[in-house]
Amino acid sequence: MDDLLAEFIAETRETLDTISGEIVAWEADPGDRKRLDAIFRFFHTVKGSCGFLDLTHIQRVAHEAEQALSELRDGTREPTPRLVSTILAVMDRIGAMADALERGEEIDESHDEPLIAALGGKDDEAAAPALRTATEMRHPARSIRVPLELLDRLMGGVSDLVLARNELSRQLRRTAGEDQVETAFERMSTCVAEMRDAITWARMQRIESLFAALPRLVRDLSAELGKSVQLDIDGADVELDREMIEMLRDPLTHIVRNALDHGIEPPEGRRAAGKPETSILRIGARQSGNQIQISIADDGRGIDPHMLKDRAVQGASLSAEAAQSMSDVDALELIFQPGLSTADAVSTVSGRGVGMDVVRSNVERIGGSIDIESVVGQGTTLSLLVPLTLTIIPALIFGVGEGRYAIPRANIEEIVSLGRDRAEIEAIGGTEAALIRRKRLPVVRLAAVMDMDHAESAASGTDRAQHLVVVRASRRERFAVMVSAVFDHEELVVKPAAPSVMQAGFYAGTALPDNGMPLLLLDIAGLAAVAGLRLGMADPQENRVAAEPDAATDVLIFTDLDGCRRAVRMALVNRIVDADADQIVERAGGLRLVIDEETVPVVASGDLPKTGHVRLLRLSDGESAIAYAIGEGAADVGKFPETFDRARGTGRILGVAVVDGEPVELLDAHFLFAEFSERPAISVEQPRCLVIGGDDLWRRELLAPLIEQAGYRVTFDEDAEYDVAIDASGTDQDSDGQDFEGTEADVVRLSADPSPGKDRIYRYDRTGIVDALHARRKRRASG
Amino acid sequence: MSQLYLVAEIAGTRFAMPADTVESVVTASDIIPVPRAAPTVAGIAALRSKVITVIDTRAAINGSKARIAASQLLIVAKLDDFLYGLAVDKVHDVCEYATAPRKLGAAFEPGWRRVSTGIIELDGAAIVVLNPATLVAGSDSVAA
Repeated sequence: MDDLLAEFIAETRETLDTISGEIVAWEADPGDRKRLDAIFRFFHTVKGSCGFLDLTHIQRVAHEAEQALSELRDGTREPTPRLVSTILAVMDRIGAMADALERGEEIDESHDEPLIAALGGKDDEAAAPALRTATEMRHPARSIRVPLELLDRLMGGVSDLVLARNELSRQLRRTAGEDQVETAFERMSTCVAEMRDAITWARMQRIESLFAALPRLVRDLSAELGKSVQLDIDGADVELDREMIEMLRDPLTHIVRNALDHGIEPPEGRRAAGKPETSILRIGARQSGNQIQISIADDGRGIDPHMLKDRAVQGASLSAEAAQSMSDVDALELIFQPGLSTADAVSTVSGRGVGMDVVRSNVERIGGSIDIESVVGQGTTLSLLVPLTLTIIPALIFGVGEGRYAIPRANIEEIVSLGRDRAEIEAIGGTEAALIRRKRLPVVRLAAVMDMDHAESAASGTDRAQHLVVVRASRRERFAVMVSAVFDHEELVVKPAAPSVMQAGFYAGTALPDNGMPLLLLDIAGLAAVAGLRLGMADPQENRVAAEPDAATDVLIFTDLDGCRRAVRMALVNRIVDADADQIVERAGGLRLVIDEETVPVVASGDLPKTGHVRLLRLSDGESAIAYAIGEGAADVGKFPETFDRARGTGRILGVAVVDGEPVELLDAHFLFAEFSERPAISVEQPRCLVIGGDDLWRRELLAPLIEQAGYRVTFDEDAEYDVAIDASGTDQDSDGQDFEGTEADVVRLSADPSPGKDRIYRYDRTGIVDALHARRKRRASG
Repeated sequence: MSQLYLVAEIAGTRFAMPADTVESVVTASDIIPVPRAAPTVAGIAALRSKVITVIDTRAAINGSKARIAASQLLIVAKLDDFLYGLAVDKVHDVCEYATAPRKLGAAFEPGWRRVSTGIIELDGAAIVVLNPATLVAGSDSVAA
């Protein structure tokens, strides 16, 4: 519905803009048949769309105009100047109403009766004022429609621009440039970076457009399957690159189909299991760091890991012994194996065994990961973790032998150096495992995968320092990649590689980093497959043998405005907001972020930039939200140890711990919410205070705000009901001091005299006035 | 309908390539090897602000890997939106040839037969016309 409405608004505006030229010409020559037709068509279209969208008011206005034009066409009416301007006013009015619709405002219908009357030719004079207001109310359009291809071309152009900039930077470095050239280059670099941000932002789309098709899908499917399903969508305002949205469409549809077909039981089954007949399918999206998490949770029958094992053993993809020792969690991952279906029978909806493996490879192809959790009898949750955008990827550059490669940052969990007692390699039954903090991980020797063993041994004399890059292909599936050197973090513009390169199976694309030497980006999921780790999964490894419970909290680690590295618990982070500096305003004694028609209190632990972008974390405690401004640089998901040094006093910082070799402070979210969050508005009826007498300017502009601040509603109407009254007549020096009638019990009398007599209060005695008001109200309330 | 051809030389043999797929002829800068790519791939290289895939033309024709180093002459061709650099020893000329190429006879080596579309005659000598698409194709392109 919202999409249709937006479409209608945009279309109406566009037509209005294109025929505005016609209108002027028509005004000059109202007899021009062709232009008359164009204008008639406009009203006809608007009328039709409004009928469809149930905008009865606009429909009526358009209908009346269409009627009048039709009479003009038939020649039964003369195009008098007044009728022409009325029709023009109606057009403006429709534009204004479209604007109001877009802002979600009520349409003020009072303007239109005189217009309609004038169209009917009944009351020409009365329409005159309406004509004026209608014309004044037209607002300029604030958005335009742009074809998606154009946006994509812009993005491509900007990516090329970034690369060209890098090339220029290399050339400049070679020819030790002049200062002026350097300055100009710096300026250009800033512009390019800003432009890249803007285009990236322009391509961002609310995930809403991905979710929009789901209600219909769920409705149709549940009807077909005879199930009763309630769809619950959350986080539709999370934004991600439109290309990602397209790539997610199929996997999401597939998962929803599966949930409805296999996950959710028919009503009788649910009744038997003691569940409500209507099941709930929850689909939620949220941003975490540079990634978007989408979860699809049903409350259906869940997936039985034993059944999955049986199926896999039947399908010969798993040995019976392996199945025996496999943990339930690992068994659930079997669902992503090709050819394995949980469906007992093939239905028209799903269950042909082409499924989750395809979903998984689709998600992994876009640099994402997919996880499954399921409890028999309670339901299944699938979580997709995908990067925000495809085109520019923060990556780690490292060396293997002579070559340099990159891994997307999103895949990297940590980097461990071998031989510093932090990690060691064990040989187990012909394979190798890395022992890092008493946990074993499968190891992939990249040099071996790349058939570079001889190069490796040649370089071994000088290059003995080995590192392990711990990567995750999914939340549970982790392995260590052995590399010979770790170089740098860099944001890479990744382009697809030629098919003859991609056939290696573990490359994601090519990139040209700042040093000008082309680079290959590794595809972690592909690497795991090529190295045979996927197969190893069916053979339960020593993965968890020495595993200890993971005593760490998921946190988002970021650089704060004051340069400190700080962390906040992941669960509290709603999303990361990039706002313009002027979206943050100081109001009511605090900073507030104005975004999407809400204002959120802003917490800043340093100076906010005055111009440009500000990055904020939108934290939520479930009810209220605060925005925490953070500094430049990447915000990464990390682990904060359970035990850490607690801060001495209470304040914004709860404590500090060392994460990845640097001290990181953990924010005290409880303190932040207690201190900064919006207290719910107190809806208690405010007592009313009547103000009587006195100079009008003084009592309205000076006295009334003081009373309102003290929690009263101010009225100047003597006939209105009131709880207390202030007689300000004594403040007016010229007045004869005639007192307002009322008992001393509920009237506060003011005076212009700084030392007033008994029963009067000096008019600038703030506390005196407020105290007197409170005292009188209390007395009245108890009396 | 005449067609423009770029005439170049590899391993002592002249060949022609339709000029419409050719973007430019450059000398290679550093060529970065790509482990486990197709055997025809000599590596990747930077061309201005783009990354091109360098094809070992000799390997693509007869399976014997050539030594491809910096300053190697590359014919840059665009195919399916990917840029390739085809390694050649010499580039001679661009010439125009009016009629369609003749089919290759069975006497030709299988390697050449696979990557070529026919023969044209130039200054009294026959020249094989290569099809760049088969040259750059991946796994199945190398004959034993």
